[in-house]
Amino acid sequence: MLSIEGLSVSFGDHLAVDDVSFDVADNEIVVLLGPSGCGKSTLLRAIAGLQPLDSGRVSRDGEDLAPLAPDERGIGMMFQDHALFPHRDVGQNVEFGLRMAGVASAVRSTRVAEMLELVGLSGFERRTVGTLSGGEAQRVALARALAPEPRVLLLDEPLGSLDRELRDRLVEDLPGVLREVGISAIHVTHDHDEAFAVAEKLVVMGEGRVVRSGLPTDVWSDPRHEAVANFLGHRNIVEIGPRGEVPWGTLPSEPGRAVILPDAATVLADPGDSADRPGRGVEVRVVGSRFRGASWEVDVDTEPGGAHLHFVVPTELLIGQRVFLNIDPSRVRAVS
Amino acid sequence: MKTAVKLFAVLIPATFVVVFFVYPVINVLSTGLAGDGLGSLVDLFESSRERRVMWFTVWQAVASTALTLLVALPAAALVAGLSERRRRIARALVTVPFVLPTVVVAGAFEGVFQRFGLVSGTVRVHHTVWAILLAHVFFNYAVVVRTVGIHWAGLDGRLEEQARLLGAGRWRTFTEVTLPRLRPAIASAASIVFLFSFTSFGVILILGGPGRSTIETDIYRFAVTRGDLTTAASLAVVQIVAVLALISLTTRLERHRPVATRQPRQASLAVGRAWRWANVSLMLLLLGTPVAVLVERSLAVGEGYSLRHYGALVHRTRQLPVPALVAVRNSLVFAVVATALAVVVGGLASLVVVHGRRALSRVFDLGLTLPLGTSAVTIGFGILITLDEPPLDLRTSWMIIPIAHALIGVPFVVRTMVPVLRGIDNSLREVAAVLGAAPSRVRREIDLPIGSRGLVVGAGFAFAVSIGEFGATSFLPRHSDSITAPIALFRLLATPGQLLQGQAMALAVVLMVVVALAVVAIESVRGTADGGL
Amino acid sequence: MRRPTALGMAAVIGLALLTTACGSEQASGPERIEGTTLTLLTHDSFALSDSTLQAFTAQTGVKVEILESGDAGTLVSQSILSAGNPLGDVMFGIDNTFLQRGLDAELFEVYASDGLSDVPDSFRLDPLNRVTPIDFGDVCINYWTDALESGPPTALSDLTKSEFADQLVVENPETSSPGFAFLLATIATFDDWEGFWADLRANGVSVASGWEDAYYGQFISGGGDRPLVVSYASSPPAEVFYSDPPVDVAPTGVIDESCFRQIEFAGILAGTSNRLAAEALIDFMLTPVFQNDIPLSMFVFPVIDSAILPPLFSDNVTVVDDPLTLDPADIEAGRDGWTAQWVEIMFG
Repeated sequence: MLSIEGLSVSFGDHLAVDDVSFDVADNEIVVLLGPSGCGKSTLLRAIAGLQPLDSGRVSRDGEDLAPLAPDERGIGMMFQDHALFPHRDVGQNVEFGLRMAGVASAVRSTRVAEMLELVGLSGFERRTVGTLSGGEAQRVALARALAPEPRVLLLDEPLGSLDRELRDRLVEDLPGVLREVGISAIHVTHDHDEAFAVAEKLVVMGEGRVVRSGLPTDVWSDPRHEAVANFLGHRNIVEIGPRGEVPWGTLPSEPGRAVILPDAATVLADPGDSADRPGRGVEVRVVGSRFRGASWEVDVDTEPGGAHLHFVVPTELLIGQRVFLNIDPSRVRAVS
Repeated sequence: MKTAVKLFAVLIPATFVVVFFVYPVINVLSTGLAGDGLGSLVDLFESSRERRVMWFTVWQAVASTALTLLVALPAAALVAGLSERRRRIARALVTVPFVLPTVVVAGAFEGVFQRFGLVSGTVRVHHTVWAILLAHVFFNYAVVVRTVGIHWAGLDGRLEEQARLLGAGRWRTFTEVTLPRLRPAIASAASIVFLFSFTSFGVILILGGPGRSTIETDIYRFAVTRGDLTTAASLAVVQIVAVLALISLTTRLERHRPVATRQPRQASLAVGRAWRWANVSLMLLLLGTPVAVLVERSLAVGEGYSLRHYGALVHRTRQLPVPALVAVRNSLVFAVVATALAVVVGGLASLVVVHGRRALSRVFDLGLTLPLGTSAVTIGFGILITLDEPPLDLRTSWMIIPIAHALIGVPFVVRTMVPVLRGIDNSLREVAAVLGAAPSRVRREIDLPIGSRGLVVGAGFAFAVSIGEFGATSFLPRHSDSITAPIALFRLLATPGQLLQGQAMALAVVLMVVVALAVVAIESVRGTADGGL
Repeated sequence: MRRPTALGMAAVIGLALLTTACGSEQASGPERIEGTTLTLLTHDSFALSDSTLQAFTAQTGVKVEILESGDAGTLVSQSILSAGNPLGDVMFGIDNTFLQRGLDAELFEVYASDGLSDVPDSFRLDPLNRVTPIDFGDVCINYWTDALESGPPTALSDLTKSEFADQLVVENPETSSPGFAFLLATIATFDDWEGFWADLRANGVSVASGWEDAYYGQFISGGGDRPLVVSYASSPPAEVFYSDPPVDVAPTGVIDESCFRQIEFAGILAGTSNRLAAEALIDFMLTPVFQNDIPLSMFVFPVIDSAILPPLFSDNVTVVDDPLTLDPADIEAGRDGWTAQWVEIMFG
């Protein structure tokens, strides 16, 4: 288990990483999620030993890593734009770590072939780095990082420079590859879709601090901080009055800021016609509707109050349609 | 338009080098070799003395180059790690030795040797090959620090970090990841250092002691002292052939192309404090001691110190045709013209070397570097007997001096530009092309701003070379009032007397300050030319 | 092939003389020299007071441009290379050690200036008057007075005594003009000059590549540790003139027995188109105005009898009556062999 305890890094007056603590269990994939400039990359470099710490401790299975140089830590890393060695071919890039470890040449070439197969690039050994596409280069970088069998792999926005489609594909592949080799990983990203797709544990950072961490589903369904909610893509953030007032009526929830999760709404089959019938829900006008396969993502404006909300519903709604929605108070979370 | 530009890029450097170098040299060599040239060449190789001289020339140049790299590469790393402003200052400071006349530096070194008892006894440096090597390191330090440093600062430090994380220690990271990417710049710097050491004159004569000769000093000996132009021309041919062979070799090394960076990021690998201090101390000892000796001598008056020698530079002594400061002004004017010529010719030539067809690129690279490896006697005498008729009767024109200086400055511009241009990420060019830029536009938008980084460093070199040039200048006829500062300095030292010696030292210090300031000024041009890249 | 070698030239010297004579006849037409500009080709050690050449211009209306390059050897080599299309009209600075080479290459036109009548015969080395003596200087061993408690050596042969072991620095005759002059001094003195040099070597003589290196690098004056150096008879007055802080008496002295005479000549370069003006300049160089300016400008001695030496010179130097000399033709013929032998003795 890798433990990060009370880690701080500053550049001059600027505190880039501020008292960060979290653990990475064996074979666990932790995702550090946060906006650009929140200190994620600095944190990674500090863990790798590339960045001196102001205070705090990085330990593995209780052993303090501080006295170990970057090359002695057994930590692999993958940079955003691959950082492949331009003066070496693909095979030489992948075998670099093995060569440094003094692995025999025959063993190296077998291992290089395995690694390239793992990332789906069999037979690329003699290709020069300059001829690789962006996705191929990233896969080579992954193979290179994994080849010496590090105990922990750090991935710094590994997919950040790729286009969406390629990224989605690699996002699907990556956890599989990591699980196949059995490795702990810390994956840094600013993209919440990527984070949810990869993470077994999510650590959300903001301004150098950890603001929320936990299982991805827990974090998503209970972000606790408005900033976290925003960052995770929650759009229904409302102010609830002292007696539960919201723009379209009332909600039986605690007063204050709250996020209404997108799965909180059910479409009422028959709203009836009596205006004061309790439980008839909120009348809304559908202003946007996107088919998402098994569900529809809809944007609605509440008739009373004109609040703009966003939900995912299992039934089709058409733009312009007026419906009544029931909002489940248990899917409303207070945020600070 | 596009073709016109291309044509100019080829024609301007080609004309320059053919008119002012190739043709004069061929002319003087064929004059010298007419009659029994071939026999004389054969004689050279049959003479055991000349064989020894050739061997010594080569090995001292190789040893000087290796030693300079060894000493200056760590300094290049150190300089690359500084902030941009400090880096500029450091680059200017290391240029200072470049402009110091050999006779002055030799005197300073001898002072140091004497103080540390290295003149006689078991550890003797004076008049040994060690003195030659030491002086070559002193003079050529700047070449390595500047040429390699500019490249090093542009390397993406994450590759080194990546190597560390893959288990490479510091040293292996350097040898496996940094060094290969620096290779083109190192080859470039090494070839210049080699050529300088190969054709070194004053250092060999003064510091090496009287028993040592190289091809260069023998060319002088035969051409001037003995008046044996045939043997001198044969030696000049040997020199040129050897230099051609060497340049072809390094050109091949430079071609291993590297190494792109979009956003140069400083390698953050903290260098050990002890190592850093060791390096700085070595730099101070090697470069600083002779300079300190000069400054001390320029201030010494009798038992005390005064600025009197500096004040005297304003007035004309009987030994000089003009006040020493006017000679400094002359040198500055020549240096500005020479630098402008070198930048235009060298800049265009580098584009041809990098983008031209292979054969053309080869020829340009060879032809433009060759003057650096050619004896001042060959060039001086060649110009003398060739450019002697209208429309090109330049023998007695003042222009011939900056032209000769530019011949030596061009290789510096080319050798600093080419690795930088080759290092430009091709994908940057592709991106620009995809965005709709025509090839000439790509060159303007991408190559030029990035290349300007190399160009200003090359220009700084060309300037310093011109300010400090002595050999070729002394071989060209000059009007007495256009005397250059190094020649003036030499003349001040040609008559006994503490006053003249003090003035000469003061003039040397002024030259150092002038060149340091000028190089800083030239290199800050980059700030504007460099744009966002 | 641009032009024949110097040796080939020597063979046809008679014919050559005829040619130059014709040239001078053509030039001596009704030519007016006022308003012409002469180019004086000289070496890097040339120096004069501003007023001297101004006086010439005032007298004759001829302007003089000075073109300098390298040392005397370079000057001669360049002139040989550009013979026929000379760089200037008059050359100043060829000395008796290079004279024969210049004469062999027929660089000069014959001109016998009236001023020669005031010049002692011992300076007039070219009976055909292709060159005109202008100044002379003696290359002598200088000593640092304070460093020699038992007195300086008085003869060249003293230098091989153990008393003066490790005290002398000389210049390499292959790369230095005073060095070559001193080699000539030993050849003029000793029948077995080779033996003398072998003894000098055994006695710890130091060889520098040039005068600057010897005088400033190794001689006491420049901070070195050797009290004996091959320099000039005029070095002691220069030490006084350029002393700092000022001194009245030179800290150095000259060993008279060691002096080899160097005479510098001027000549009209063959092919000049300003023959008459060139003659005027040669004439002027032998006038007291020019001659009196020589000592303090170039630290050599004027050749005319009527020249007045500044007190600095008369107080600090005595001109040797019977300096060592060799015939220029012998020097040119012997140079390569002597220097090669010298190298063999010193470094073999």
